[in-house]
Amino acid sequence: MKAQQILSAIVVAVVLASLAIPLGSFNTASAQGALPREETLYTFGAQWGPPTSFNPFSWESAAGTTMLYLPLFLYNGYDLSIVPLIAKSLEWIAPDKLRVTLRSEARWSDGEPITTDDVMFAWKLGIELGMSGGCDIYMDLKPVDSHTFIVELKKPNYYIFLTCLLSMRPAPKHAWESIYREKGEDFVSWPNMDLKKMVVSGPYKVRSVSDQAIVFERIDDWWGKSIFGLPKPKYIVVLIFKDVSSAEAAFRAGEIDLFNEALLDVEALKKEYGIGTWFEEPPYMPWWCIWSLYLNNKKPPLSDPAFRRAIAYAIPYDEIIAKALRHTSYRTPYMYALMAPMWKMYFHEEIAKKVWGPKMMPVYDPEKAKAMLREAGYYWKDGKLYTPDGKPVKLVAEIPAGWEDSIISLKLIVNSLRKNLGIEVDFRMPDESVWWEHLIKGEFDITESDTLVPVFYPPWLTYRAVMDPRLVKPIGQEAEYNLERYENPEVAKILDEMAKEVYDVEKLREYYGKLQEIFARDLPIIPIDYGQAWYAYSTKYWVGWPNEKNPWWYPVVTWDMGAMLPVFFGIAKKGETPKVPAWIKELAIPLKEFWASIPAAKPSPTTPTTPKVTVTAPGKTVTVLTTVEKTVEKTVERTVSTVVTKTVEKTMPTTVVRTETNWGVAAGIGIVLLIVGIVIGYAIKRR
Amino acid sequence: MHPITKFLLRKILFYTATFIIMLVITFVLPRAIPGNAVLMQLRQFMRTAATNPEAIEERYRALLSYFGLDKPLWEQFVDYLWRVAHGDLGVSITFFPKRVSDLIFSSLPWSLALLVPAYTASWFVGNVLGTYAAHRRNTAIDNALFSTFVVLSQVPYFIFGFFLLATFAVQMRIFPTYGGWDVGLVPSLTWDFIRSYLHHYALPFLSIFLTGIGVWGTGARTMAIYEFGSDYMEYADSMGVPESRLLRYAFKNILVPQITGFSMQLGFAVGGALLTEIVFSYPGVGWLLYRGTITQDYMLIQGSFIVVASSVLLANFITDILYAVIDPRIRKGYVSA
Repeated sequence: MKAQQILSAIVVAVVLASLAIPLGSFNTASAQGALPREETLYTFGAQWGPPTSFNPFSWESAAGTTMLYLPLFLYNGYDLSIVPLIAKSLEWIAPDKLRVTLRSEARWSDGEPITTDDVMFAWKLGIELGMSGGCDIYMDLKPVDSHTFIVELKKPNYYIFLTCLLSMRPAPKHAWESIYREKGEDFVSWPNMDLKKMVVSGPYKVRSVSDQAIVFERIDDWWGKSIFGLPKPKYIVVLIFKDVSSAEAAFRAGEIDLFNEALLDVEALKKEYGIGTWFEEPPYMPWWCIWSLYLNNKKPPLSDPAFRRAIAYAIPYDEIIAKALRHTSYRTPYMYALMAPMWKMYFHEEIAKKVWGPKMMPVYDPEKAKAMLREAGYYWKDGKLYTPDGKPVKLVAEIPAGWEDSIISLKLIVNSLRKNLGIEVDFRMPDESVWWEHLIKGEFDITESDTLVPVFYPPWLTYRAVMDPRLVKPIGQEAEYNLERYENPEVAKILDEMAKEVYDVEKLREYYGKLQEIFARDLPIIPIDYGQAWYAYSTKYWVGWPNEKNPWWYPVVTWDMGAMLPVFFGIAKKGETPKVPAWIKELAIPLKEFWASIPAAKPSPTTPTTPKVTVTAPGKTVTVLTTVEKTVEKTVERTVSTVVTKTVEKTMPTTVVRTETNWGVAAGIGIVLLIVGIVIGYAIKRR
Repeated sequence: MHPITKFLLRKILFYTATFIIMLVITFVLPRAIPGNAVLMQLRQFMRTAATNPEAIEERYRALLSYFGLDKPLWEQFVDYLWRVAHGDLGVSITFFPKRVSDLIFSSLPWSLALLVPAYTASWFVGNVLGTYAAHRRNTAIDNALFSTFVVLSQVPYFIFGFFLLATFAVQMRIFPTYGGWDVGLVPSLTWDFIRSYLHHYALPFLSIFLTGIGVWGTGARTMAIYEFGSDYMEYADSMGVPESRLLRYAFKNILVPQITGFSMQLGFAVGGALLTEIVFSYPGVGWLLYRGTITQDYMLIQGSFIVVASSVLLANFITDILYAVIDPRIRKGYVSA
């Protein structure tokens, strides 16, 4: 039976061949040895799918891209200061003109200097690719010389100016211009994944990329070595898990050092595995944004501020924090001024006390909520709540399926609204994308969401995102911010005024007071707790992490590895004594000083005196010079004696992992196995 | 016209029509899901930093126009057909800027390596055991085998996967809970990697293999009982033909329908045992399709469906032809018709 023989041979061969197919996708480069554990920092939480791009101008760029392409300045969201990185100094030469000087030491990894050209190139690229972050509307760049340029304000808004300034990162013009010329707008899809040719400005380069991890390797002769020293981990690995629970298991086993994802039982983890968190005690996790109950301000009765304020007293806050959040978050009075504690200098206690009573925030008090509703003309019939014009109150509450914490949280609120206030609430759990579409199009009643702006940034940004009436879009049209659609022209005026006068601390405080009062009065959304920045670390291999007791850097998460760069410089291997790099404090320019020097830069036409203010790092010196003919700049600076004369080696040994299948190899092995299969089949048959 | 040519032409026409209908469906279905892929992409962008509203709108328009989603639907459809005709499956939205074809072809090998051996082995073992059970009908062996088959075939393979996972990975900790290989390893021809791969391979393989045995076993047993009751078998038995030979006779006669089922299943192999791959986070096409669906990545869903559906169609087509080759009755039927 020849046919049968062939058939069985084919079956055996197909099975063997299919096993061999993946062999084709093996990397053909030299096998990569395991990384030495004590030299490697493992992180989790920043990357979910396979890394697809290291192009900062792409819509999707892999975790760590911001660490490869450093910004001009870092922002410390705890100390509220700016730390010059590639830039050396900032100087207001007029209230709308800021002169930025770059460090002469700064080099790309191929040895080319980082110059104004690279800044201009990145700026223009951003505008042309639609990736400028809207900054071109607010400012403009003017080159001066190879290491100096001037940023001009087009619109008097120092808050937006600050966020734009912080987002500036030079791009290697010499390496990318030809690619841009060739690709044009399609540059956004250029992956920048050729590890051998990748030109970076940061202290790490990409060593390997796979669907399971991105491995970064320290550049030991990095240009910033003489100024900043070198980061401690030789390797940083961004792990890619497909679900959180397996990552948590690895974290418990000490295989992950920095964990930036939701943890189920922080208390147990701390007790049994000695895991570190920002706060030693509950709430453990620091603030990321303000988690709030969103109410559609365009739909009656939610459009009635009295109704919204009554609801604020029907939310079982403590129960939510205990049951839904397992004490990983908390409430502060600052939340009701849309702030985190580090901005408390703008918080007005007297307003909070006047509006909310001695606790300075709303508390769970159903009786009070009922009284407030009654006072506003609402009434009950057969236990159901009716509006003053006689309509029964019916609401739809929605939250994405799968968001366990938020589901419990919203469910607790809904139960209270039903039980305590007699409101008919329909609870729905659509897919995340459906929920999001409802939210931004204003097609919802009540839901929970964060305020979209990290609270480390000036509260002005959160106020704008929550209350700017100009951002209200009609129902059915996608809104960017002000999703609850709160419209109050008064707010627009205050926002504009204060963005102009950031340097006047007293006035600023006054403006913030006004916003706080309006927010508390109208309560467009109801803050529930802080959305956490999940920040947990293991001290099994790395010690000296910043935390509440030793807040030498703010708890920014690995989503933006560039922003957390100083952390890598300040931690130490287990057994060594961690030392916080002095430059973090020395170079820092407090935001307050940065703002305060604006008016001094005002060129005065009546007097020949030109007061000039230089804010130069290091030393945070504010030098006010009043010279007539000649400006003498006095800059306190450390002498940098190390001159880098060595040419940086252009070829970097890297392991390229090819993820595409080598069908040739696969086919070859397949054929070999096919023959083996036929022989085996034949032999079996012969017997 | 030669009957076989006619037969082939008819089949080709039929499969082409099916393919075109499939193209329409793969275009319409993802767009019928409520929600919008681009909006979800924007949400990520909005949340990571303090972003200017102008930038969000700018980005939204840029994304829509890049993926051609701002054009009227009919125009998008024509574009889509044009690109498919040129073998271009587009760029993924979720895994931007990777091309869908690259994504599929880098996960396809892993799916095939899992499913082809699992399907083949379960088919073979299932049929042999089924035939054997049929021959030993109503004995203790048959009772044991048959009840096992029924249980295994009725448990959905992914539930069975969960069961294996809970028992062997979570409770007994013999096998890893997740992934295709250990994190940190990179696919390479090293002992470390192969060992890690096989270690991760065991549970997903078993979940498909064991449930498969149940399915094929029950089918084979039923058909073989019929065969053993037929005249030629009774005759052979009364002639004192040894059991092994009787089994072989029966086996051969139940082969035709079982091969059909098998080749159709192989066609689906490309789509991956989607849920198995999700349960075990195994890096195959099924997992990719799942990611595409939950993030509403139109391009990725379209691309994956086209590849999966095409391979099913192709497998069916080959089966149709194989029929004619394997079974003389069918071949004769076409020729004489």
